[in-house]
Amino acid sequence: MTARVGVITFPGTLDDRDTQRAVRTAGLEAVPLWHRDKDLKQVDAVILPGGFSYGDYLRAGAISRFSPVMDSVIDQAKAGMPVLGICNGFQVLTETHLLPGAMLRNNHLHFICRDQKLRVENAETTWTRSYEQGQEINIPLKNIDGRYVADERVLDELEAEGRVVFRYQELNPNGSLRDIAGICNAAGNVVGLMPHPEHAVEPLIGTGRTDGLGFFTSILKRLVSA
Amino acid sequence: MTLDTTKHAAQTPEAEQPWAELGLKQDEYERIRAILGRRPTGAELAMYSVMWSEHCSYKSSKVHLRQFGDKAPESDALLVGIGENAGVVDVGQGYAVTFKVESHNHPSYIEPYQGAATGVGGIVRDILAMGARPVAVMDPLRFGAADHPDTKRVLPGVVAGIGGYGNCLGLPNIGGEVVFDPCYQGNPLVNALCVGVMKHEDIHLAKASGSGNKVILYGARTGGDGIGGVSVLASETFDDSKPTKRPAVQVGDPFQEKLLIECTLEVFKEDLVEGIQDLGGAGLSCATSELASAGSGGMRVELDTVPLRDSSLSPRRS
Repeated sequence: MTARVGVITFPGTLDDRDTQRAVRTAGLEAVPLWHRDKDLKQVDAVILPGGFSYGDYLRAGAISRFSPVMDSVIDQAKAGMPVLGICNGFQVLTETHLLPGAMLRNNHLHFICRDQKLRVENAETTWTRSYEQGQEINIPLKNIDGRYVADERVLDELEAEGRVVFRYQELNPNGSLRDIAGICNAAGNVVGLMPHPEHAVEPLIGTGRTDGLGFFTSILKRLVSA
Repeated sequence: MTLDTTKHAAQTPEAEQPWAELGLKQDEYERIRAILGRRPTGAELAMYSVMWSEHCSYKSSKVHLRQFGDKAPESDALLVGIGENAGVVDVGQGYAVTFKVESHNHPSYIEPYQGAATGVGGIVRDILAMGARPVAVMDPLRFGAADHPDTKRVLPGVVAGIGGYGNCLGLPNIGGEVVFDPCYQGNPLVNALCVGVMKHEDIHLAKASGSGNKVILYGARTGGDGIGGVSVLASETFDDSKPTKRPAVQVGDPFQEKLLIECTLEVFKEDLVEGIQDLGGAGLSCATSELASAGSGGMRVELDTVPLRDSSLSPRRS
């Protein structure tokens, strides 16, 4: 039996199908989860994909945080279940306070879409074990609200505890503090990042590389060895 | 207020009607009276005005457009041709693509962001109505001279409108082109293209045949924006001395359209759809009458049941 990874669809979610495909590409079973269901269908891990959940009305991720499915995700995440938030999913995770900080509008105020180089700063989280410490990867980035901010104390804490998981390389595309592209919680089971690993799992599309596949194979390793 | 029923219209043949304000010409109004054998009711007049607009009827360009049908070479790859929401081409292995490009020039000139955004919205619905999942958009654009003040007024909004709307639907803009030339000053060309993918058996047509079928209207609620857009806006030339026609430009809601896409694809999958038509420039008037006339019967439409964003909207304006 292979591991089951739940992919949440909120109204306005856009990358759920790509994420399900990436999960299957890594040899895992993708289980669609609906925002109104508290039932997580006994999945082993959950991914919150990108998009405009609930139209991003009020503030990106602000409404999704109160959806029934998130009640269950918050409980399970605190109990140790692996959770990954990509782009809008990362915004939802900060709104739920599973991860600290917030995302503001890009410092140049424009939507940006590019292939982005990242350095893996922590290859020991549940979602990054397939990578080497310090490895450089190249995956697509596309957002307008991607500028990661937190107060100095939180940033220092993240750095000291090794919870900065990814840092932008060569160019900081949105003004994120300390070039932070992705972070994790203290236990390392909850990871959020703005760039999109699910769009870089097949050589045919995206960057032409499969640098994003490691997220999904990492979770496979962890679930199989558990 | 007395309802302007057909009976009332027959009894009051001399009542003044706002045909000119609705974009109709004198001879067209006479023609409507001749066809009906009486004056039209307010709702009928509104329907004629939009259906006989250039936007919906192609009354002046039909003679040229017909050549696409007449001169097209025979091909087995063309699964759906002229006359439907969009053409469908076989690409092998049981798959087909459907694509269409449509202009939204006048609305984009008047209100660049919303005009261009709803241009994308409209073309995406055409592709969806064929039974396909929309996967990408493109935008061929023409503006006046690059240093002309009006180009500066129009261009940023058009670009932001196309990009913003497509992005909210998860549709990448995979290409386009832009040309600046003084001949487009005061009349920029804003074209939006959408492409969708489907299996052959997923093709749906805008034809409602059979009796007893239910007609379901779904999507964004009907509001007061964009009313008469095709007749008031699209067929007129602009004149600075008249008040702005901005309210005739529709305001887009990409979040609702994203939900509409997923909902429609699910309804297709359940095999519940006999015929489907998206609401374009002439809204309900066009969608209901085209569906019915392409099919085998008529359609009874209760305008009172249309979900409204503005509860004071009258049937004449739907």
